[in-house]
Amino acid sequence: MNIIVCLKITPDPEDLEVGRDGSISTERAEWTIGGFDLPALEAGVRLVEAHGGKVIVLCAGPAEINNSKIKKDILSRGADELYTIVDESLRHAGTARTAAVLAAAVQKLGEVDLVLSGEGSADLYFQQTGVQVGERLGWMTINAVSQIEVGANGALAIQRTLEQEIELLEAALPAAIAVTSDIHEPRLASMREILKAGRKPTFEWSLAELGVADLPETIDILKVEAPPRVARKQVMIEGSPEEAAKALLSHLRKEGVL
Amino acid sequence: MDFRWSEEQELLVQNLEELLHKEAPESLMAELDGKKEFPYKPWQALADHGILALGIPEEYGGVPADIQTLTLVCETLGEHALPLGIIYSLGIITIRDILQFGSEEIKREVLGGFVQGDPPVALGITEPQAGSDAAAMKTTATLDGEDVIFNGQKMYCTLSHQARYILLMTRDAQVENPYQGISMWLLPTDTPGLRFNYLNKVGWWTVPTYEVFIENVRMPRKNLVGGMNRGWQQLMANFEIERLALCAASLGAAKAAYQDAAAYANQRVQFGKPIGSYQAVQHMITDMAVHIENMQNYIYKVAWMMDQNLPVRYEHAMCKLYVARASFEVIDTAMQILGGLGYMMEHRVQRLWRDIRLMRIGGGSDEIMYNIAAPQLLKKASR
Amino acid sequence: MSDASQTLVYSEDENLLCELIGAAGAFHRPVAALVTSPSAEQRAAEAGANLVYRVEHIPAGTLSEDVLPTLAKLVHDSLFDVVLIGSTVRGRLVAGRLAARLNTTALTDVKSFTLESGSITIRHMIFGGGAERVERSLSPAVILTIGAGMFDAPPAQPGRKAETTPLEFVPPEKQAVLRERKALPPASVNLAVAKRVVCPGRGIAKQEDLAMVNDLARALGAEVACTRPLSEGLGWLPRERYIGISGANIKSDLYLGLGVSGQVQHTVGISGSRIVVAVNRDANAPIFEQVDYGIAADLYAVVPALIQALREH
Repeated sequence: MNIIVCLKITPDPEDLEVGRDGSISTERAEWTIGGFDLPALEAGVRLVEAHGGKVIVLCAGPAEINNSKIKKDILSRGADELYTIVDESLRHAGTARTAAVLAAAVQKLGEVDLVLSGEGSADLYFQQTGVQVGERLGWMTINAVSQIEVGANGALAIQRTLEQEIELLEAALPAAIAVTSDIHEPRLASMREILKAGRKPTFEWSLAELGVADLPETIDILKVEAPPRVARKQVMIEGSPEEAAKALLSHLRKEGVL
Repeated sequence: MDFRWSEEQELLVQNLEELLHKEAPESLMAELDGKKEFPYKPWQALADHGILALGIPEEYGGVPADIQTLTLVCETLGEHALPLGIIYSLGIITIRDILQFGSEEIKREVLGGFVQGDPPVALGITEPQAGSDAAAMKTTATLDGEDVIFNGQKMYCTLSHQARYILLMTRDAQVENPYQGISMWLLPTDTPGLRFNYLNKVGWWTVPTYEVFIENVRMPRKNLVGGMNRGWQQLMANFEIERLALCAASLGAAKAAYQDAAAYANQRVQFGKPIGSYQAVQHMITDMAVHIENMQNYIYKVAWMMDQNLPVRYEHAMCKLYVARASFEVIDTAMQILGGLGYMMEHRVQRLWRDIRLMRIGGGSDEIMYNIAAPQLLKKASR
Repeated sequence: MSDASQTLVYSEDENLLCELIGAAGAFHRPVAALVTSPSAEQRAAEAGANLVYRVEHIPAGTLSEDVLPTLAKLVHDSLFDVVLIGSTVRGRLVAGRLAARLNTTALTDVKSFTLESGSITIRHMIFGGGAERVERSLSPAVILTIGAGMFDAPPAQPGRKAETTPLEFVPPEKQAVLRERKALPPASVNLAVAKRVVCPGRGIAKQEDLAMVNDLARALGAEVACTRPLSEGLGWLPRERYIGISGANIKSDLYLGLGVSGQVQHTVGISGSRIVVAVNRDANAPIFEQVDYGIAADLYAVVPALIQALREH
């Protein structure tokens, strides 16, 4: 079974800087592999370990994703090959264009049975790209999948976790599946795997090579800003723990929340 | 001169930190310390993630790694779970001796086990009357046909009861020059005739130490490691790397204490201001940071020299001397900044403080480091 | 976008469907609802939908997502230019697949939207709640997803009828086979409706220390929540108890954070609480910038003192 895992490499949301004026900057943020995406890679690697085939990772984004440490990080976690699609226009692409680019890459790779993606990207968390890729390919497309097994008939036996229930489904291949972040805990890489990662094949494609250089953009980003802050009283209570406790409770009684 | 780590080293440390966060969290290390238990589970986790395989040849299940990389591993272990750094460092010398001098059979057995998670091979060298003067040892090995019979007593034999083997040093009294009469043996710890007496100590509670009584312990002669009466030279071959590893673990511990102290200096408010705003505390913080920077530079440089196969005849001793004292000073200052809180058994800084003190004694005391360095320095100056 | 066109709403969740009808009211244009059951048809009518498309002859064993081809055909044939979809797990799948078919971007989890000179501008959260992004759609057809509780449903008008158009179910080309459906164990807590919430963070050193937090919660009559690391990292508390971007949002009277540093991924979930209190040893912790009352002291001293003071009262 050949599996493509779509990973998004993004500025680390932890490194987000909020200016006094509410402006947002990711300029000094370190770029990392999305935390919700790594479980998808782990799911792909486990399927291939159990059933053979290979895991190909697909990343699309601006030049920052061409980071050899991040590439080794990905390849040290069990992926066999890595394809990056690098274009400045992908930095702020809407999910429609990102999905179209990824779908074109899947088609170019051919001979793929399964496309996996994470629950949502680490920066935007729109939870859209994976399912849009599946639909663009015209494949069986399912989200929120918390378990994947290969049944005796070659179809996938899938567990899907919804708000209040679990569904057990059978889905024929080829399929595109977006997994939940708790499907598997991503593995840690050993030094052996880290050393091996540097020798695994990586490829870079341009939008033109995929025939998607001139896709129209569907959104126009007008503004990114810090969310409005709720005004709070900001009363700091001093004194010994006992005094502070009593003072706090007296405030809370006056507020009528006890 | 390039001070950057390789991408592989960065990834290794990242993964190791994540592993330690999960498998050796501070709460677990504190609990094990309270119970004085060897950290079996975290140690096994290191094996399962291939950390123990580093630096061991591939044919024994290992992964090649240079000394700089091993140093980074020790430093990371020291920072997040010091006892693991100590145990790992103790293992480095015996494992390297076996790798360098052991028979093929011994190598397969011991290295294979270590990679899988066996505790390190304990080193049986110190005796009641032979400490820094290790050549004064008296434990004997008497040949008897295909066998050898040991008699004697080893002191401060750390991890000997947890380990599957002791790398036992014996003395042939017939040979006049003690350095020409010492042999190295691989002694399984379940051999009849061995008795272990637990020793209470100030720190290193999860790294237990024993007195070992050896009475008519019989073993096949093929358990000789290296050449008969070549034990001293063999042992000296790998002392440098053990010292460097202990230095790196100490550096990690100092970094941990520094982080605790700096965070506390920022948050602890006295007389209406965070204590970090007072000059006295600011000086302490800066002095600690300077020590850490110096330790780091010294350790990385010695590691680099060793990787280049440059001689480190006195550099390693000066490095150990400096790091053992500087790391203690940093941790002691951290305790000072933390005040009463740092002296409480709930705080990790008291544990680091108790654990780090031994670095000035074990692995060659400060005084021995002077003894190694001074003659070399003077000799160099006389040229 | 012409004024003659209509807005279509769809959600398999009937309450959310009514909220979408409420949200669509902002366009001041007729609202059509796509439904797959008689009860949803009635709810949509009572919530004020002008037109209801009722999908008929749905084969047994059909997943609610399999409505997609029917929905896509309706959007195509009737030239809907705005589609609002309820942001549930199923809704997000339907929205994504519909967006792919329409070659557009679905604008997800919209907090607010405006219609100006024929184009729709929306605002939603990014960076785990650390920022908000304002986007204008450049597509002829716009798909928005809206989460539960973001907009109010119009007051129900019992007995109101809407013009209903039956729609033939369009079978999907590919369909997953449902083998089994199991209810998830009921959540031990619904933080969204809790009146008081006590929330331990990384300042709690050991799992055993949660006993003290539970004691305080009992004394306060509060639910115990937590920050994400305590749930997903350490596994000390179940997932439904963590507050934050991918967890629960609270609307309590009181939130009491214990050893919570105040990372935005967490605080985005407490902004709806009326009173926010935090205890943290670190006087510089960001949480103190957004509290009503703060105590910069060791929670291990303050929590027992609070329990004692509550008992004495």
